[in-house]
Amino acid sequence: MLRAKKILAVGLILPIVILIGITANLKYTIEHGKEVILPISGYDPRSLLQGYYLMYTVDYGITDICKNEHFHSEQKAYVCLEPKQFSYSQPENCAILIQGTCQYRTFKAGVERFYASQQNAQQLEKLVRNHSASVALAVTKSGQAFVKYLLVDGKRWEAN
Amino acid sequence: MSDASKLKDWAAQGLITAEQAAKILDYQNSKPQSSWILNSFLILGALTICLGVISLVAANWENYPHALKLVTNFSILTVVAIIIFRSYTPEPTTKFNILLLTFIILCLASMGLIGQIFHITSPWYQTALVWAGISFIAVITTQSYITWLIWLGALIWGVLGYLNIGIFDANPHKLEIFISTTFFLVFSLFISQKYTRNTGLSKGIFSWLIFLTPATILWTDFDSRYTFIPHQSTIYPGILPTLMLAIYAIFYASDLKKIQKILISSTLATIILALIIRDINLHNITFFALFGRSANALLSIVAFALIAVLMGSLRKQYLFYLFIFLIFLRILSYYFEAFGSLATTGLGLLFAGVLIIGLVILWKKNAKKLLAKIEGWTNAAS
Repeated sequence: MLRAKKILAVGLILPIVILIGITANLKYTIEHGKEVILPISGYDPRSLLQGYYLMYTVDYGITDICKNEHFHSEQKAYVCLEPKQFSYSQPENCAILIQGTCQYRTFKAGVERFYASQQNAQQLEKLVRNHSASVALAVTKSGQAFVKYLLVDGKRWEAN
Repeated sequence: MSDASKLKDWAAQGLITAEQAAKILDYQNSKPQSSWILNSFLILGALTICLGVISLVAANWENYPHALKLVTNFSILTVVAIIIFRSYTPEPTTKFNILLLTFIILCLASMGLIGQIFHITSPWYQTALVWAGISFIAVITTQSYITWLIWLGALIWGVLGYLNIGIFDANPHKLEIFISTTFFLVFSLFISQKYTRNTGLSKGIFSWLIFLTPATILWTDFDSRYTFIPHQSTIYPGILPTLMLAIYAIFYASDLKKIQKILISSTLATIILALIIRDINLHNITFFALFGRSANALLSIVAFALIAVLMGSLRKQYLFYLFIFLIFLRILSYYFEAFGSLATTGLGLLFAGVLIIGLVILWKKNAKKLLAKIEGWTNAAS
């Protein structure tokens, strides 16, 4: 019985520790990653079980992104912001790299959603439609990008 | 009827003596009495408090700072974990199983909360796999069928999602991966029954196998009708190893009778044959036009029939009826496929109606007899 209780203890502690670890890692990464501000467009407010969020397309300032791949399948791809280029293999000598995937001829880096409360999501959607909007990303050296905050007309948007 | 009345009745029937009846009644009266009415109100009160707390929190949840949300979340997880640990007994209890299921669902909810706070967009299968990974050790401490069913579902569909077999994915080996998964589940069921004493795990694997097997058969059947991929190889290297594992499992399963092993092997062979015919259909329009469409419909019916007989031999009556029902459905759908627009004419519909009624009458007259015969064959073969 002691062995079974030890296994149970590990089984209960491990998920909590891992989740706290993930949270801490995300917090650290977002605070210490290189900040990059990119314009966004194509807004679409959504609501799902996990809450309300705004979906948008990030403008990386590069043409011909994800143009030469099979329409349906997910394919790993890289956007380099300095110097601006797009490729399906990791580029060398890239100062700011964002990794993602191409699917349906769209580059997705996991930064295309911004969660807000129902009231704020509706207000935000109206604001971004009528003004110019951008997203501030925290980018790691390995190319992972995370959303920090949204900007409307160059000013950081804060929830009410 | 109260205990006293029952005991009086039994004593009158001579099942027990009057002295025994009196002793039983004395013993029952000496036990502490628990009123189910009072207990129900206690549970209702506790639930109402919980609902009140949840409502208060939920009403203002969106206004809480992220840090508070995270602290609350992890505090709840920790409290539930402590309750589970303190309530553990060597014999599994319903309370423990429910608490553990609550805990792992809360872990999933925590992942959702973290994703929401940090605006994380990740593919659903990644979430499923991470959740399956972090909750695995907790799940192995339970024998709860529901918990294992949910966990296995997350694992299976997480892996399939990772391998890009979604409807909109252009992976040319989607069907072969799905078939390989079914074969691997046969092997997994054997391993779980032979090397673990976890009945929840075995039942969970069996349930997913029962779901995936007809899905595999029907997908193979229909795939060749609507897909034409000229000059593309559909050989998938994963099929052969998983098939070998499934055959090994069937061969060494000590709790299966010979006839049952033959039935399972024949079903696997039918699936492989259907896959080969599907491949020929994809690359040879003439073959498809002449044989392919009907061949795969027939193989589906054969596979369902083999599984129905297997379920009958395993005394799983409801699954026997389910697979017989699938046979009837397939016959009906083949009728509409074969006759095309003719089937929707007045005469066609008339014939379809007669066919349906005929199948139902056949079913009503013979299903129980067939089931009894199958059980008889199985017993005779052992």
